[in-house]
Formats: sequence, C-alpha cells, structure tokens
Amino acid sequence: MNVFISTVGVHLKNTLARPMFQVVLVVQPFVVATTTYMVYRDAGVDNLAAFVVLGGGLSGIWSALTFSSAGDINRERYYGTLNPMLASPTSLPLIFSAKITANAWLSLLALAISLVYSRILLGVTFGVPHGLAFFGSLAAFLFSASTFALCLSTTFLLSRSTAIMQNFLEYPLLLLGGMAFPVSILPQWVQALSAILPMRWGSEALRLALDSAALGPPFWEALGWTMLTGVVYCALALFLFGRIEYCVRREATLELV
Amino acid sequence: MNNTPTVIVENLSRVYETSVGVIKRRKRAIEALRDVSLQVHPSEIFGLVGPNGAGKTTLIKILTTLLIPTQGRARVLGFDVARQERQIRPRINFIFGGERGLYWRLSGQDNLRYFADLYRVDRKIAEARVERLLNMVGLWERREERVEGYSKGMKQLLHVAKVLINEPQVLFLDEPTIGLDPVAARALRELIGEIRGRGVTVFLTSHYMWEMETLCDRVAVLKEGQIIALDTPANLKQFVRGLKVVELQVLGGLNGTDERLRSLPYVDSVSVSASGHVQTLRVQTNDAQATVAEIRAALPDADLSRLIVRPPNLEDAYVKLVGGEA
Repeated sequence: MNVFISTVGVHLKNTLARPMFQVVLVVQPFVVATTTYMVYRDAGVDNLAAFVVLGGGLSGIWSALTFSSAGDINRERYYGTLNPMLASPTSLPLIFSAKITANAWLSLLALAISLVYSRILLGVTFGVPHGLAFFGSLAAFLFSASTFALCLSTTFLLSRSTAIMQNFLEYPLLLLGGMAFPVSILPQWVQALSAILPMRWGSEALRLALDSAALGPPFWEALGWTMLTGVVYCALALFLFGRIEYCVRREATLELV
Repeated sequence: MNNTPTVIVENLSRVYETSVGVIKRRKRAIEALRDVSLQVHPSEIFGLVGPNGAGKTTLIKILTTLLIPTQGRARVLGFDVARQERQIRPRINFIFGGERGLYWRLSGQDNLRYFADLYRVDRKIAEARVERLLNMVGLWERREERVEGYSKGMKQLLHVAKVLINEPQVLFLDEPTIGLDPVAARALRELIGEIRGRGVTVFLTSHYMWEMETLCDRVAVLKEGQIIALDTPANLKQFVRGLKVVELQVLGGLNGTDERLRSLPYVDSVSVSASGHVQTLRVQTNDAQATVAEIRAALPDADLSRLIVRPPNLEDAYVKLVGGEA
C-alpha cells in the first residue's frame, strides 16, 4: 500500500509541474463544452446540460487518462526511470495503476471546470436528479476507463512510438466511447464497435443518471456493462503486463527513445 | 566464510534482432555477447573493460534481470537471472552512467524516499537511511532542492545514494564516473571503496583504466562480445612485460608518423588519442631509445619536453589486448 500511495504522490507532483498537463486539464473542457453547446443549442434536446457538461468533462478525463497511459511512459523512458522501475521488487501493474489513479483524480478537475464554465459562461444549469446514481456511475466510469488505460499502457511499454499511438488513439476513442457525443448519433456499425469500450457504457450511464425521469433498466444495464467491461480490461491488463515484461526483457525495447 | 561465487556466468550469449531498410525490411542479428563465462566472488570489485559496443552494458543488463540471455546461463546470489528475477531484484541494485534514472522534478530527498518505497524498505528505516545516505554523499544540505538544479556530479552522487537504499548485496556500476570532474570522480571512487568495505560485491565497468587498476581485484577484457582476458590488474600487465611506453603529446598532425612507427620491428603497438588539438601518441616498444630517435627524426618540430618513457600500465595492456582500440 505504501508503494501505491507514494507512487500516486510522486506522480501528482510530477504531473502538476508539467505545463502541458495543465493545458489539457483546463483548456480541453472549454473547447469541447463550447463546441457541444454550439452543436446542440438549437437542436431542441431535453438535457442540454448532460451533453455540454459531460461532453467537456468526460473528454478532459479521457485525455488525462490517455496521457497516463502513453505520455507518462514516454516521459519515464526519457528520464531513464523505466529500468529502475522494472528492476525494483514492485510489480509494474501496481506502479502503473497508481499512476493512472493519480491521473483519474486529477482529471475530475476537468469535470468541475466544465461544470463551472457551462454554468457561468454558457448559462447551462446542471441538475443532478439522481445523485447517488450519478456519482456511482462517475466512479464506475473512472474505474473502467482506468483499467482500459492500464491495458493501453502495456502496449505502449513495448513501443517507443507512444506519442504517435497516443495521438492516433485519443480522438477516435473519444468519439467511439461516447464521451464527447452520445454514440446513438453514430452509424449502427460504429455503435456495435463501441460496445467493447467501457467508456461508452460509463458515459451512457452518466447521461441516464442526469435524466429527470425515473431510473429504468437501461441505466442499470449501462452501469452493469461499465463494471463488467472494467473488470474484463483489468484482468486483461494483468495478463498483458506479465507477457509484456517478458517481451521487453527479450526484445530490449524498454529504454529505446 | 562463504566462498560461493556471487555471480556465475556460463557460456552466455545475447543476440539483438534489428530491421534494416525502409520498403524492403530485412532482419539483422547482432551478436552482443558470445559464449561469455566468468565468476565474481563475494566482496570482490570485479572490473569489466572493453571498447564501445563490446557488450559490457548488455552483460550488466542481463545480470540485473533487465534482459534475458539468448543462450547460456547466469546466476546472481544463486538465482537464475532469466527465471528467478523476483528473488534477485530486492538483493541488488545498479547505476547506468549518466544523469538519467532520477525524477528531475522531485527533490533529492523525495527521489530517495520513493525508491525506498519501490524497494519495500520500512518507512521508519527508510527515513533514517535516506538521511544517512544523503550525508554520506554530501547532499544533505541540498536535499530539498529539485534534482533538475543539481550539477552532473551531484546527480551521480545521488545515484550512488539511490542504489544503496535497499542495502544491496551486489552492486552493478556501469561507467559511474563518466563525465564527472576529477574531484567528484575521486569522491565516487572513495565511496566505491567504502561500499566494498561493507561486504558488498561490486561489478564495475569504466573506460578509465587507471581507475580500474586502482579499484578492481580482477578485470575482464571484453572485445566483440567475447572475454579475451580475465585476471588481476598486475597479471594483466604481464601482457606488456619487457616493453616500454614512449608517450608524446603533439599539437597538430602526426604526418603519418604513427604508421611509420607501426612498421618498425621493435615496435609492438601504436595508439593515438586526441583531445581538442592535442594528440597523444603512445608507442609500446622493445627499444625505447631507437623509438625516441625515430620520433625525433619524423617530428623535428615537436616539443620533446612533452615526451616521456615509462613502464607500461593497465591501459597499455588493454590497448595491446584489444588491438589499439581505446
């Protein structure tokens, strides 16, 4: 537990000292919230707040988490700290889980910024009719998106092209995961593809928790899928870390920059 | 006293596969280590020298469980490096030369605390150890400053403190004094001596031969992935027994003098190293007098006050062994 807590602490210190992370955390919610507001302002949707605030907040969370999967690994590679990390008695999944947890906490700021911005500048009021369901869904979203990011981090460990992969994956997954816009506006075949992403179910559960109507089976279904896919990705990440550690020791790719 | 070797390497080989070409990519195998065997004894300072690319870092990476050998076997403290890495890791530590391997945005103290946690050192013990180690390397007063503000020498000393945080039984130091100024390098060498005094086995690589001669009990010479000599520094110098070294510093070109000297029957080997505009010519010879006369004739304008004749040292033995490569 000490290692987990100190890794979270070290990661928070390192991350908050980085100007680029501050930009991602603060600017992205503004951009996405404004874009979403412009798109939906005259569309006559019932819960504009759900689209604007969640759109901005969730995309901020997602960007922060992909940073934890890719950017952080790249930085550790550049600092030369991946080798001491691998050669220490602490397991890599524990270290990376702590790093992603730290980023998940920080990313909640994105949601808060999106909320305040939408309220003050766009005049969008954000009510939470089902508080417990909303915060439960938010916790489930963070858990499942973090396990998905943990999975991504294993593949990023193998390759030195992490920055390219991060940029390549960030936006398609943002759209496929229904974080900026609900996936229901995407073509059917794309929706089917997005079903394997825990973020899709998490963002759907969050939107349904903001609906003033009573919580029905679709909410519980979305929440259930969020948790289930989160657990599946967690198991997959643990399996992949075991394999990837062997691969980097065999292929000698850990320190290539 | 336990005389079981701390490190046992048996017929170890390591091949790297790389791709060449852009459109039509072809795989190419590079043999970094070939059939390497050696043993390192408890509390020994064991040196490994060789030209760049000889395989020194690869061998250290295998012994520190960062790489898996392609063939052969290596055991550290009785554990197999390929399969029992979890048993080895808490008991060893390592430095790869240079400034990397630290968190620059954290203070020196926070770096040590974090690595103590990674090595599962109890918090109370860790606090006392961090203080002791920072005092030992002379960084206690600067402990709260971010590492990015440290000089290269301070970072290297912090590395030394870092690798002692888990009180390792074996320490692997890959060119730990590279790029350090003479004072910092001397402080580091003294520390290495102190560390061995505590019963730690040290596996050391360096390009500075006098450093290896001073510190190491035994030295292995690695060339193109193979060990070509392994003995005490005194015994390695036997390779150049009976020879004298004529050394001359020349400002400017040598005008082919080195080539001419190589062709002389009494000259054993010639090496040239450059530092800025100054070139140092080293000639290992059976006849120092005739060699000096030859140099006088070939370089009439050279300042011969910079010419010395001396008995050979470990560096001369190394140059002879690796065939002129420094």
